[in-house]
Amino acid sequence: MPKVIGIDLGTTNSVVAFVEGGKPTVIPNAEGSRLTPSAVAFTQDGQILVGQLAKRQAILNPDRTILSIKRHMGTNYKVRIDNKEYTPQEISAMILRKLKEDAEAYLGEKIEKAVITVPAYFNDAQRQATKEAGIIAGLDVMRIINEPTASALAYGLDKEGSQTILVYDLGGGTFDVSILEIGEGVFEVKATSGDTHLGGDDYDQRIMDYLIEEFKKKEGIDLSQDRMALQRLKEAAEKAKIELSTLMSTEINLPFITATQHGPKHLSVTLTRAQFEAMTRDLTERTREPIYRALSDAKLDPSKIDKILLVGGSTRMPAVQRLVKEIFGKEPRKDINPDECVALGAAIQAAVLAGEIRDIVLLDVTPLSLGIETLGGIFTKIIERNTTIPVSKSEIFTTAVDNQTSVEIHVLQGERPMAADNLSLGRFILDGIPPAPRGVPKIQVTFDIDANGIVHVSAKDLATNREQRITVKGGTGLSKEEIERMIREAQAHAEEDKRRKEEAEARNQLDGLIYTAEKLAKDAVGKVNQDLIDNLNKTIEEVRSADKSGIDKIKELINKLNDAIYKVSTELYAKAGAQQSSTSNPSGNQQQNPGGGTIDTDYKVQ
Amino acid sequence: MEEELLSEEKENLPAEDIELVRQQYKELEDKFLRLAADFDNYRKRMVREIEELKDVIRVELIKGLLPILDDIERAFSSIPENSDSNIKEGLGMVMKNFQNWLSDQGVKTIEINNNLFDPRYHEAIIIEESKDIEEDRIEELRKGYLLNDRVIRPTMVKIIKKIKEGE
Repeated sequence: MPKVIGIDLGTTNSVVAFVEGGKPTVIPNAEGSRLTPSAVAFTQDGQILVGQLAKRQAILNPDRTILSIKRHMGTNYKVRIDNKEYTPQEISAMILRKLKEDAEAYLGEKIEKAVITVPAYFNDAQRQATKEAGIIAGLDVMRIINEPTASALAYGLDKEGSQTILVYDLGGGTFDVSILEIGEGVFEVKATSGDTHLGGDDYDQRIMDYLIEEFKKKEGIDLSQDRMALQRLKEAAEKAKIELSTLMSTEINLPFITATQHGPKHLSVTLTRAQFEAMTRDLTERTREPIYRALSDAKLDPSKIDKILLVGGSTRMPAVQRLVKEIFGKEPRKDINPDECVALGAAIQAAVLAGEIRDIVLLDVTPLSLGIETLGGIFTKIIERNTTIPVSKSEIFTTAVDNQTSVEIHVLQGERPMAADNLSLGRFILDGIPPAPRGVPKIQVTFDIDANGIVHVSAKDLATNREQRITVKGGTGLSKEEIERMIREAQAHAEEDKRRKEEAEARNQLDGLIYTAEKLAKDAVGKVNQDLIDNLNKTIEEVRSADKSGIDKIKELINKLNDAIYKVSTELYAKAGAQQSSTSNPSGNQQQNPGGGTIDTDYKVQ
Repeated sequence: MEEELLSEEKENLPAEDIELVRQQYKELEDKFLRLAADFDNYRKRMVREIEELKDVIRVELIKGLLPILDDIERAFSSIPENSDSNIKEGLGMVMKNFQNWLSDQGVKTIEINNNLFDPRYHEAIIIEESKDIEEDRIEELRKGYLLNDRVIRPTMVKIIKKIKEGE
């Protein structure tokens, strides 16, 4: 079956995506970019350039370079080149053809069918023209869908029951607000509004103006007349804008921006996010009125909007997100790349229409991590959350004390690092382990989740092949709310949990060290000065009975005990070294530090 | 009587069942083959993409360094030729080291050969007209670079057009 694609045919940029294994993915163009400028140029020697190449020669060829053709879709507007007239759909078809051909090259197969998006406010003529553009480009246009609908599909909102959503789409040069009602997989546009000449480019321009103004104040030179300087300012302004979405302040340094007879001049400005937001406040505020207009047209007040989706690269700006949150009193959704959201939704629609989505095997994931309790009450994850099932994973564990003949496997589910904070799914005992020093037995614990989400846990002693297992039915049968609550709690307690886990690990380390110390005290008898051994034994007793509350105290005890061990072992090895001077690497009874971060965490003692 | 009915049922149901099972088997096999094919294609593309990703990461890194080289070059050319200090010479060496490193990475400078504007390699930002030239020409404003024959930054150019007689 040939692949189908979804196309976001935008005013400034276009994006193409397809669905693979049930997931929509953006296809990069031949130049390696995920965004293709919606620009077409007719060169003097008869070539047609589309995208970035068209933009690069725009100044040379302004009359033969067409930008923002989308604004003319469905009108009688004509582009006249060398006595030949082109309709807006013919120009758009050139953009679509490039997207199609680049996608074919990327996927290595022919593409015939596509879904193309249009703004929700497009009328019949505009939609028809878009469809024609697709046909001219050699595409079978399966459907024309609204951009906000595509965004909602990308967010999977069609599967979430009836709701009212608002899509806030602030792109490079246009702003659209749409209110949609979703029910039973049907999307109804309740209202649209917007500003056809507002977008990220306006924000860049403000920074440029500011830089020019500052430079004029400081140096008395007007950079706006210098094309080369302007180009550098433009690049720096866009970079600063992007940086200020994550940083509170950014430095703009443009050395040698110009020169006078007195020598070179440099531009150096620090721009804070607050300054940037102040100089662009009116732009951000301009999106407020269309939102209210759309709400009023739909006869809704802000509280009636269930979800707000942020689409378009400019919605990455914190000021924009704040404005939306202020109006609606809730966090907008912004987890899907806002530049790609529309194309991803179009690709999903295309795959549904082509029957691809139905055909693919819907793979489930484990919503929460699964694992077992190990020494010190630590939750050791075996299968991480969001792992696609069916899946099977094993890990090898060992015993915590000498001659331990049984281990308890406590199966848990959750995201918290300490066992007690997670959900217990069941426990079982594996016994009959032959007596051996701690750390020697190898016990393989296997988690297997089948396609129905049923969890099978088994523990096997690799020495005897003795095995015990447990099946947890409906182990992952928690409601969505419960799962979300558990994930939220894990995030809320992250700091405190981390401390507790560190404390438990330190305690394990100390226990291991006491074990090592005791063994050393026995082994060293007669080989080193008895005073040192007595001191070690005394320290062990002190450490055993000491107050072990708090990680700092435990670490102190670890250091203290290590000192005593060190004194004994140094002398022990010094003597051993003297005896066997031929071996440069004395191989005494050196113990590996059991708390040294080995993965073989130990079981609780039965 | 009852036994007869039962045996009749036994004969009828399996035939339908077999048909149903056969159908389900076909569907499952189809689903499985599609998924296997999808996965195989995915795997092949991932191999290719990882290779490309290495390039993308290098391109991004190099792209980020280019403006700094631009600045060094600007600084270099702003020091008067006849200045007697060693600064120009030293800065020239810094610049040379930088350029050599780029060339070690496989980065090449885009050369302007025949004075023809080519949007694959050049980005025009200024246009001028002149009577004093034989034919249209382009002038480099900022260097462009290639990595493995792929443009990582087009050369920024000024286009000088010849004013024709009578215009």
